Amino acid sequence: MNIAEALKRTFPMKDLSQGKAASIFASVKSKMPAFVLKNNAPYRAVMTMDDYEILEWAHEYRLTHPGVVWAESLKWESEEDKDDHIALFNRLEATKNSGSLGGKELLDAVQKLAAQQ
Amino acid sequence: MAEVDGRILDAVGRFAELSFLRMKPEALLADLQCLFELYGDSFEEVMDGVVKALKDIAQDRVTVSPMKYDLSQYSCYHFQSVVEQGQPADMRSLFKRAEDGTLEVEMIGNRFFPADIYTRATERIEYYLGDIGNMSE
Repeated sequence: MNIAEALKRTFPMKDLSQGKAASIFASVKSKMPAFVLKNNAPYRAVMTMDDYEILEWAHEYRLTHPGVVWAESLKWESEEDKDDHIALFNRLEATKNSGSLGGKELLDAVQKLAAQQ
Repeated sequence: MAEVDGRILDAVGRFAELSFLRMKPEALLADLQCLFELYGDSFEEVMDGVVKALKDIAQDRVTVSPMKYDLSQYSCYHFQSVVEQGQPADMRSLFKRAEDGTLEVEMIGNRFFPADIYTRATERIEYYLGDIGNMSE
């Protein structure tokens, strides 16, 4: 859904209490949520149960597969690069709590990481 | 994954010589790999610029910009990958100053390669916080 379509699907909060709730809910379709404004600011989104399940799955996936999300965010051009980055990310997981280092400690730690690649 | 190029490890050695600098080793390696991929033959020249920029920041010789929103704990310094008249400031360094005066560098990289640096920095910080969505905590 693009911005123009999203704008057409925004409704003020008062519509819900002035007899338009049923028509708003009826207009909600797959990938076409309705957005409710309160005090002229986005307040709630109304979506189908199927869309909600997809959203919940995506949220769960993001938490359980951060490496994939991270690689996606880097926008590598090839699948091979993406796989490399996922592999790197997964290796980084092991050193996640190493914190910041400086001097020789930093050099040693990077050399150790490089040796694992 | 390909073996890490010796030129990248040489660059790490230069970072290790900066007594005021602290950085997560995996972050430094990832950032240098990106810069190596982007700049290739000019990598050492770009590293000269990065090291100079970090020294300038540490010695308060340059003006840095405070970041906003999810990155509000950090400051950012813009500099040129190659010091040359007319060259845009295409590099960014995101860092914060620790209480003991050391520079905690979060990310060093090109503004747009391999993707928007601020997006990448946000992803990285979220990752280290370990709980995506709790950036403000």
